[in-house]
Amino acid sequence: MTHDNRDTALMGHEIVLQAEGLAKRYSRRRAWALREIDLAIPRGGITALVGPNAAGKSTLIRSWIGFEQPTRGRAFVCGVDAWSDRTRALEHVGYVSQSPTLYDTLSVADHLLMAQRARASFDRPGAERRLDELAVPLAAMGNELSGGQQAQVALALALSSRVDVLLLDEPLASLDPLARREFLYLLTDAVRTEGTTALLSSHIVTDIEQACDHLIVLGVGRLVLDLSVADALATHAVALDDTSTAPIVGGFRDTDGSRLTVVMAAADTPNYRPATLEEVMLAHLAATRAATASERAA
Amino acid sequence: MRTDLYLAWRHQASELGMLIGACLAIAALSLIFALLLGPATEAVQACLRENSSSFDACKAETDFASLLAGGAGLFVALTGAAPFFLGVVLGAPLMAREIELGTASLAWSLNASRAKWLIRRVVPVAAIVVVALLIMGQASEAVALAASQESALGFQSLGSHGPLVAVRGLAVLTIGVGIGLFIGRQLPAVLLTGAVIALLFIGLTVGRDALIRAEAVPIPAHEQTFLDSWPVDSAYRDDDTGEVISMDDWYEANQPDPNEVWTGEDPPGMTMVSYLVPGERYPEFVAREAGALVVVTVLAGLLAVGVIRSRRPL
Repeated sequence: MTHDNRDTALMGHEIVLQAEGLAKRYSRRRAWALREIDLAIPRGGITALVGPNAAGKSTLIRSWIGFEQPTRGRAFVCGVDAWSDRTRALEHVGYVSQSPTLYDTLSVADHLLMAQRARASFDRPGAERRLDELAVPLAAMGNELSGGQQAQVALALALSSRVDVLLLDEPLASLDPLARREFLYLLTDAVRTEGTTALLSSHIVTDIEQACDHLIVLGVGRLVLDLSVADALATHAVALDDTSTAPIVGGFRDTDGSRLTVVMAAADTPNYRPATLEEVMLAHLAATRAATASERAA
Repeated sequence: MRTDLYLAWRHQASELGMLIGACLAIAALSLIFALLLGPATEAVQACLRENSSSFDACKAETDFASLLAGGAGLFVALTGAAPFFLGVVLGAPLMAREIELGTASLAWSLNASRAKWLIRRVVPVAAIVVVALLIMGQASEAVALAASQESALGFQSLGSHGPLVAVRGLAVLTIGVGIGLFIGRQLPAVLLTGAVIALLFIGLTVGRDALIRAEAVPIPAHEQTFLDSWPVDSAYRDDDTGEVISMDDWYEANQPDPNEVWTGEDPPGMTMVSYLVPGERYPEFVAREAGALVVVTVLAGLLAVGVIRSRRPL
C-alpha cells in the first residue's frame, strides 16, 4: 500500500502516533538512524514495527517517548509534539524498553508505589491483579526476578498507567517462548479490553504476527512497508517458478539455500503460494538493501 | 512527601543507613564527650589547686582530660569533613546510577515531568542529609565549646560546627547531583565532583580570607582577650597621631639593634595592635558564606533541571 493509499485509509481515524519527515542522526560521523520518516498510526490495535538490527526501530520509538531529539522533522503523540512538549505527550504514552531495567533495591510493590506517585491515573490494584495472575511476587526485589518477570512488571506498569499508547521496544527479545506467550497475552488482552494502541517492535516477525493487525517495516532508517497484516498477506505471494510476470518485491535465500522470490500477487494465483509475513518482510528488506547498495555505489 | 521519603530510603537504604548512621554516631559521641569534658577539666583544675607543687600528682586527671580533648578535636574535624564526604558520596551517584544502570528510562517514561521526578528523587535525600548534618553541627559546637571553655566559639573551628555544616553539605550534594546527571557514570561523576568541590572551596576560602583581611580592625594587643577572633596581622600604632604602620615599615624606619634583647614592651610612643575580626562577627561571616552557598545550590539545581530536560537515557 502506498502512503497516499494509507492516508486515505486513515481518514476518519484518530491518529495517535505520527512522524512528519522524522530524521535522526546521532552525530555527523554516523549514518542516519532515521531518514525522513512519514508515518501515521491510528487509534486501536497492535502495530508491529519490524526490521533488522540498526533499522531505526528503537530510535523511532524513543523519538515518540521524547528520549531523542529529532535532527529534522517531528514526532507527535496524540497530536502533541513529543520533544518540544514532552510533558504533555508523555501523559498519553507508556513505554517498555528493550531490556526492562527495574530498580534492584525496590520490590515489585515499591515499583507500583513509585508509578502511582508518578501518575495520578495509575491503577495500582489493577497492576497488582495482573501481576498476581502471572504469579509475579509483589515482595520480590527487582534483581530477584527473571528477565520474563521483569518484562511483565514493566508491561504491567505501562498498562496500568491507563495511557492511550503503548510503545514496546523489543520487549520479547530476551524472553523464553513461554514468557513471550504470556507477555503477548497480557498485551492483546489489554488492547482488546481497554482500547489501547500498541506499537510492538521486534526483529522476529513470527513472534508477533499472530498478535498484530498492522505491520510497519523499517530498513536502514527508511520506511519500507506500512500496511495491515491482512493486506500484506493478501497482496504478496511467493513465485514457485521462473515464469512469474507479477511485479517482483524482492528475493532472498531461504534456509535450505533455495532462492525465494516474493511478488505482488494474490496468493491464490496459479504458480504462486501464499507468502508468510516474515517472507513479505524479508523480501522488502532485501529490496531496500539492494537499493541502498546501488545508491552507495552511485 | 512521606512516599518520596520512603522510596528514597528504599533506593539507597544501605548507603544512607551507613553514612547517616556514622554521622549520628559521631554526633552522639560528640555530645557524650561534651558532657564529660566539663567535669574532666574541673577535676584537673581542682587537682592542680590541691597539688600545686607536683604536676605528676594530677597525671591521671590530665591524661583523661587530654584524651577527651583529643577526641573532641577529632569529632570536630570529622564534622568539618562530613558535608564534603556525604555530598560527594550520596550526591554524585544519585542520578549517575539511574542513567548508568538504565533505570532512568523506566522512571522518565512513567513521570511526565522529569524536573518533578528529579525533585522527588533528590529532595528527600537532601532533607535526610541536611537533618543529619544539622545534628552533627550542633553536637560539634557543643563539644568544641566544652573543649575551648569559652562562652562562644567565634572563628574557632570555622565551618566545622553549627548550621554552616548543613549548608555546605546541601551545596555539595546538589553540585554532585548535577555532575552525576551530566556525566551519567558513577565513578567519573564522584571523581569529578570531588575535584569541582575542592576547587570551589579553595575559591571560597581565598575569597573569605580576602574579605576578612579587608574587614579586620586594629585592636591594642594587650586588650585582645578573645580567642574566638580571627587574627590577620600585627602592626604599631603611634600613640600621638594614631597612625598605624606595619611592623616591617617601623623596623625599616627605626633600624633597632638586632642583638638587643626583646623585653616584650612596645617601643616608646608606640602600641602594638592586632588586626583581627572580632568573634562577635562570626555569625555575620557564616551568614555570608551560607548565602553564597545557597546561591551556588540554587544555580546547581537549575543547571541539573536544564541538563535533565535534554538528557538522553541509555
